[in-house]
Amino acid sequence: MIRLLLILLIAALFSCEPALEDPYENFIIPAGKHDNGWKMQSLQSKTLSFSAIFDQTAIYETQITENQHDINKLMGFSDCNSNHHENSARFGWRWLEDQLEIHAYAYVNGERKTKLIGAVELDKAYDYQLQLTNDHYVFYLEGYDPVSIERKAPCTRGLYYMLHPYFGGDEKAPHDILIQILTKY
Amino acid sequence: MKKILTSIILITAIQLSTTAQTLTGQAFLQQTVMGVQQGFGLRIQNQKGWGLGLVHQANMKSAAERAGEKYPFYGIEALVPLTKCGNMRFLFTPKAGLVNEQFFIIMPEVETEIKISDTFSAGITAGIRARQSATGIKVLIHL
Repeated sequence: MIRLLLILLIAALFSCEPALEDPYENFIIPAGKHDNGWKMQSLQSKTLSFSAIFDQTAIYETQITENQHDINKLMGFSDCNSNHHENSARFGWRWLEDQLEIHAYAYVNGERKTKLIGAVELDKAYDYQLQLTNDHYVFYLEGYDPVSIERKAPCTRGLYYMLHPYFGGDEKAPHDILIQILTKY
Repeated sequence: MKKILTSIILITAIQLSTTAQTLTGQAFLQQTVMGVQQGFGLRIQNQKGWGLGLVHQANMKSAAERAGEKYPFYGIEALVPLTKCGNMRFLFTPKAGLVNEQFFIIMPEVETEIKISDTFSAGITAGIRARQSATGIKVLIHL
């Protein structure tokens, strides 16, 4: 009986067909919130690779005009055993002048550094890649030249926790914002 | 998180040191979000099921999206008995260690161990890796 059970379980484990559902994970930042809750996940290689799709919900207008320049966060990671406000790298985004801008966004020894990478279309998947080298964070966005920000690695081995979509800046999401992300391994 | 992990290892070590122990070798396959990984390990376990082990696992072939990425993991596992039913034993088996020799990760996992003979057991595992489910099968050899 036990052997039969074992055979059935082994067969079930390796007989799975590819899932038919949408492989993208939906991150919904609810209206009046910065994010949709903390998710425990850590980086597992020197390259974070993913595809992301923004839709019409990424169009917003802030209550205070100058906050429109604030950069929201897409995805990234904290650097070795650091708090993300000390050392981290993320892709950032904002809706400005009728386009969705994508930025390189990093903290290096507590100092915030940003660089504009380019703009993406709504409802279209783009590939993103964030590479960790010994002395730089290198940001790749499909269709644009790579952008790098100097890195001061706090250590060589440790916890690199992942950072997920976050709205703000100072203001919270004015309405529900949907971002679809597919992490690639 | 560090405190929880240290506590689990400490409690397991104390439990382990109080009774007779057996040495068990294991080989396993695990379906993860990175692909199918094969692994092996060595664990020391008492009769109640408490134990500690060393584990290594890596992709059988490189992940589809990245050539050369096998996500090798070297780490330790704690064995915490949950319940026992006839020849079956259910354990909480969290793993912690380094992937790619650099990135610290924790993998919560539960294991169902089915005793086949005095020497051999089979196991089925269910865990979480990178926020996705990871299921596996294993063979355990009691040395």
